[in-house]
Amino acid sequence: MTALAALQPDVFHYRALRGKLVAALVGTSPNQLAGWSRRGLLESSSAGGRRGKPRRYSWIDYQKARALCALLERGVPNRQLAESIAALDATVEDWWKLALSEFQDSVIVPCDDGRSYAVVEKRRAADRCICEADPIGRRIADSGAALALDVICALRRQGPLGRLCEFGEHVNMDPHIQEGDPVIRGRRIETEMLRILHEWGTTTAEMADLFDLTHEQIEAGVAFEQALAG
Amino acid sequence: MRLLLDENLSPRTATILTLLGHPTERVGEGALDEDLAPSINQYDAFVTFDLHRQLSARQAINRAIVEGGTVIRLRTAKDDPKEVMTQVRYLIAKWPEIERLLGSRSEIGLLTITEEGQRIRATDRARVAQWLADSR
Repeated sequence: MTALAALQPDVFHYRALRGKLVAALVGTSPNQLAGWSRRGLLESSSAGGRRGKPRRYSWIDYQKARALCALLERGVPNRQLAESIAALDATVEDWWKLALSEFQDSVIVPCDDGRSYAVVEKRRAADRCICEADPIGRRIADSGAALALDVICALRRQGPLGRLCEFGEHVNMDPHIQEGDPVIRGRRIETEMLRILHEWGTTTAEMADLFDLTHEQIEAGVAFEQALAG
Repeated sequence: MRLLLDENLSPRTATILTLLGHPTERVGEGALDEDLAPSINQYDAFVTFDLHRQLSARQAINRAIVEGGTVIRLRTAKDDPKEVMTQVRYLIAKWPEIERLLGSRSEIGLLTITEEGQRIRATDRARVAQWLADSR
């Protein structure tokens, strides 16, 4: 392997997402995220918390933070969170990819080992499909796996924007585009840029003209940022 | 100089730079970060706007620099809308200085325009390679 090849970016592990953004999308506080980091449930950037260097999280950690919230909502005790996250990893390989828009049409099917599950395109799933309409618990004897699948399916249903999924028609997050920052769907234009221009008094029509976007895209981007600021 | 603009800079900026004598194109809509590296190397410089990122925090672009590309990065440390526009204007007004800097030392891989357009920081490719190695 050449030195350059060794520098290939791993977009899912790379800590590019700001803690404030992750906290807002997960529906928790930056302090809670930091607390989970201290417990080893997440891994934030090593420069975390220093003035001028906000704590940053990878795409995987963002999804884990969402999963932790979902587990708490389902009554999992705090002391069992690490075990429950491990159950997600054991049940569906790379489950943290499922929130990406490209996996919205995939399904989760049982593997031949009878214990784990895999993600496949819907057209290849045939009758092995476990979809949201098919109560998961009826098929799965292992309650840990049932809980894991329930959480994973919930994250996938919400998509990449977490609790702000209602903006998903016009806003997207993908670690391959602007390193995961929220952008207008199908473009590389950050919603944050639209918010900054909006706050400066740039009108929707001017922004639409500036970036060749529709008014709906601009309005959704600005509204998404306002919802983030909460 | 032939320039490539990131999609987060407007087509109007591309037009102005072209009128100044620098043929400028914009990145295709929704291009993936990892697809930028080969494109960047086909131009004299890639111009992008960085919102809130640390200097060392853009893996795909830093990798393109290590591979020989040159990047001009507009960066706002503060959440100040005026600064965004100031820096775009600065990019255009101070172009001769930017060109002179890039022409003076081939090892410069990154020019960062910071602090309300008052400063241009030059970073060597070796330093960017170190950032990449440190981020692993």
